[in-house]
Amino acid sequence: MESPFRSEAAAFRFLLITIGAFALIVGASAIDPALGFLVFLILAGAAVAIYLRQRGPAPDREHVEHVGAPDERRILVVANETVGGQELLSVISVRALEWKSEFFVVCPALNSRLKTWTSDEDPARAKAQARLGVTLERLASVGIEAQGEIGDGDPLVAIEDAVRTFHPDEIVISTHPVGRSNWLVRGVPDAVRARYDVPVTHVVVDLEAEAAAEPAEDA
Amino acid sequence: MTDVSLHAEALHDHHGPPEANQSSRVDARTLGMLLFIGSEIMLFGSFFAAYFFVRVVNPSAPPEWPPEGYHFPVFVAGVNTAILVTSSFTMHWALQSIKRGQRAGFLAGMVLTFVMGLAFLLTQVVEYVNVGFNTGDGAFASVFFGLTGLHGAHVAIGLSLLGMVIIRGFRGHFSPEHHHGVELPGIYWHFVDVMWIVVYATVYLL
Amino acid sequence: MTPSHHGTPQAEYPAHFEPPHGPTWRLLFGPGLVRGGWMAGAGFVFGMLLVLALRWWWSWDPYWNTEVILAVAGMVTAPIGFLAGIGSFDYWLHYISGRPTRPEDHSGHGARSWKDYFRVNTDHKVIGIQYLVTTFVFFTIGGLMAMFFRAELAQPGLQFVDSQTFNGLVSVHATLMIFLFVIPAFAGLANFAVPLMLGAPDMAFPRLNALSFWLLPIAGIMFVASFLAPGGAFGAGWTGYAPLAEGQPLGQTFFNMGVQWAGASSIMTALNFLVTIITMRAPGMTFWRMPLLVWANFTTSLLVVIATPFIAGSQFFVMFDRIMHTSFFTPEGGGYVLGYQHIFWFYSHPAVYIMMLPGFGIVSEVISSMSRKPIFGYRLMALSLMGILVLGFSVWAHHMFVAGMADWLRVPMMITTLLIAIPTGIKVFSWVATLWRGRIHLTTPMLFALGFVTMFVIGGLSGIYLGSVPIDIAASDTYFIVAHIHYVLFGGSVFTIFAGIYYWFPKMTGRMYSERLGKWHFWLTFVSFNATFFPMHYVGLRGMPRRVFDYDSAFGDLNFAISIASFVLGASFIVFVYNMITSWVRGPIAEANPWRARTLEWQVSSPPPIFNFDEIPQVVGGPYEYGVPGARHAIMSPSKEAQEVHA
Repeated sequence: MESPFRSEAAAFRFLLITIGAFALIVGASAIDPALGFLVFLILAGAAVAIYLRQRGPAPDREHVEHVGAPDERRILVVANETVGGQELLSVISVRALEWKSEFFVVCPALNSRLKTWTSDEDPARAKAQARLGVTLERLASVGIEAQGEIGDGDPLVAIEDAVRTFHPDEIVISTHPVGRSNWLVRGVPDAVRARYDVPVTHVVVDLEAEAAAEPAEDA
Repeated sequence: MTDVSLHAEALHDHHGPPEANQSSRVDARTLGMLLFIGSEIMLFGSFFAAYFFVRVVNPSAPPEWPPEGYHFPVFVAGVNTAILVTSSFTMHWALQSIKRGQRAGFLAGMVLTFVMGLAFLLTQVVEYVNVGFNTGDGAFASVFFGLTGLHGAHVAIGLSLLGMVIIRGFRGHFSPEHHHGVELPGIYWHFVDVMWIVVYATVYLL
Repeated sequence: MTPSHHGTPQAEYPAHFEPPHGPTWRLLFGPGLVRGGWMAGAGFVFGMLLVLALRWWWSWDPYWNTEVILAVAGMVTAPIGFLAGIGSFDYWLHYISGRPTRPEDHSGHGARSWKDYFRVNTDHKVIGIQYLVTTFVFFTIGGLMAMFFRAELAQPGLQFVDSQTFNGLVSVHATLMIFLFVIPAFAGLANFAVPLMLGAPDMAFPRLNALSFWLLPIAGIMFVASFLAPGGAFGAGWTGYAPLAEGQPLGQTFFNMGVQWAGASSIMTALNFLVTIITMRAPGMTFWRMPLLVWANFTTSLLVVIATPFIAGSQFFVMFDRIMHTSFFTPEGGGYVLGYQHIFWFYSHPAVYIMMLPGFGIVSEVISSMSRKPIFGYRLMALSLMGILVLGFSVWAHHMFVAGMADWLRVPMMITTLLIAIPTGIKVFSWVATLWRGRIHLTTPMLFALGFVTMFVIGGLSGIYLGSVPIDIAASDTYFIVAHIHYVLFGGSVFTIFAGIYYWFPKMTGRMYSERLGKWHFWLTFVSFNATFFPMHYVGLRGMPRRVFDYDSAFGDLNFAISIASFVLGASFIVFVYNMITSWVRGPIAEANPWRARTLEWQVSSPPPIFNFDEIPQVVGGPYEYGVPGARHAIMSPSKEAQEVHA
């Protein structure tokens, strides 16, 4: 049941439903006023419940303009706690070798639910800044000069900001395995795919598995 | 020097404002109509509050409704209800027609809706003349005239909106791509109808 | 546009304008105040004839009924004639007639000379200034009334006016201050600032915006004109309770109708704000990146749209009882007298939040930028506004503890009233925490903001006292209430209005006000305000009732002192007016961002370009990240290069 104000057709449907509902209420009241009131409450509650559960139509996918020379490729890398991951590094290196690529790294300042709502962002920002520094260093160590910024605490918002300003041709998102991801990160790769028409690569980095697999490499 | 700056200012003005970003999928004009209807619902709410006070809260409220000595023209109002509901159907038909590009159906639907709305108002005037009591005849009469009168005023507003659509429609303004100017009065007209169902049920039936 | 040839008439008018009429024709028949004047007269005559014709047709003797004719002709058709005359309906009439759409030429937009402020203008910046100047005119009138009745109250007994006139002064003072000053002044400040803060070129409905403004002087004139009615101005207070209001002379109708015009203006503006804030934010401006002034106006606008129709209803009922002899509130006819108070206060309590929330938004802006610190707990500040919005609808009967309503309603209303202190307290603590360890700049806006925090806390505390039923029973309708009202409305709302005006003065006018005069204004106001209203707490608790023109001689000394202080308060306003006028005319030119603030309005010139932005900015962060390394609120596009022109 669409909101009755979104369109005339929806308002017309609402009118028909109202006629039916009030017929029920008046009928019930004729039997007993208390019954009529009860019917009214039930119908009103049902209307509110249905309205709250309905979803609007999904938005169209947005086209991201290619910026720069035709042979250049801009790649947006979204990394949270997984910047140290080997998987991510290899995915990036592959792209660096294949195209004349420009990389932009966004580290969302991921935060706990409580701290997000109490606007306690500074520790999260500091951590994201540190992560960003480590990532850019690791990329530089394999010869990739990348730019980067810390982003909003909500990864989707951080990605939207970066897409609007950086105009990427591809987005690489690296996350923990499902289950260990931050409360906001779940569903982000799918949401980004639905939102933009650029290819989205989801790299799952299992840092624990990696740490276990490389015994004392840098010891 | 002055000439140049005058020119530049004139050129700049002619460019007009930058296009605002659309930060919501809800169309601005539809949202405006929604909020306007919201405030009208609240206005009806204050009239329903008065009705509630007179009928339920007042310690000296009449034990039965309508009170002794008054009677409701339930049948006439029922006919009026049928007229108004039918007018919503014709309104819907008009909008479906213009969305499909059928101008004849669109214009016929709009005119029928208008005529029926006018019939509703005229019937209400006749009802007022023959109802047997006046505004000065007590709280019951006050609430009756208040609620139905407020609704009648909204029908009149709706008729003005419909009239605008008809004038512009006959002058060739709407099309399957551009009929927002019909959509919004349509929403308003259905709201008027929904409000009537509520007023009719509350005042006449319950 | 082709290179123009100077001197030829065609060069000055774009092709789609009709050939111009002479200046006299345009003055008399073109849209403007002159045409508004005579069309108001025509509207009056039309209304009068309409009433006479209908009364003759229905055989209602006598045909001439002054109250009905004044209500219809003077307060409905004449204002409509005025509005039509100034041109507020011109575009819509053309639209309705179905003629081909005229391309927008923006001739009704923007201020290039002082004359643009006296006509229907679609530029939100112009409308904002129109609101502010108009509201301050009514502030002056209302304030003079206050000083007049303070002069009367300086000594026991009646010295200058009779009782009905005194009641009229008190009633019109409050009505003007509420409906013609506080509520629309906030609307004016928001009108100027909100679209800029959102990164929008204007409001969602600029023509509706213009119409909303012009409804306001109509309401103000109606309230003030009531003094000319036979029987004097309406004297039932700004609350206009039935049954007193129903027996009052003609002046009461001026109140009933004036409230409708002011209410309509308020609702239209609120609708405009809501649509603008929801649909016209810059890219990247999520709700959690909006400045708190925008949040405040968002919640206020929701309050206005939902609650204002209730006061309209209450005044309709009183008018119907007076003119059509209905019995909504007359017990003889089965009406429910207390119903007026329920319906009235269901609006008028949210009204006090309408009169305060935008002020909260202003204070957040000022304190943040003048302490160089992010607002503490920004999300909770926004949520507390929503909390006040919701709770504000549940407390209305705390104005009716002694009205004789159902006993069982009192305690629940007391509980909800005390609960509202929680979101409000969150805000006060947040401002204090924002100041903590900030680099504080005690400019005039900051002084008023800090003065607000302290005075509002005092007013809020007296509010807590009054929220508990036993204390309210003792303090109701005494000067304790007057003290509470003025601490929250003057020490609260008015202080924030001053803070906002000083803060945005450079942006609005392109000139800087005199800081020295501003500080004089603040300190004179602050001291005399407290000297005027603090003693009222004591006097009220000792038993002096409110709205009385005479009182026990025991209160004489304090009343005398209060009156003297109130005259000083009135005089302090002169400092403000002088500052505003002289600074606007010949103050130093202000830069784009004198406060180094981060919100979007400060990233454009002072005053802003006619359409605000060359390109809509891209928002990439929150608006208050002072001192946060690497944080940006928005990326502004570089301004368009000057175009090559041919001489």
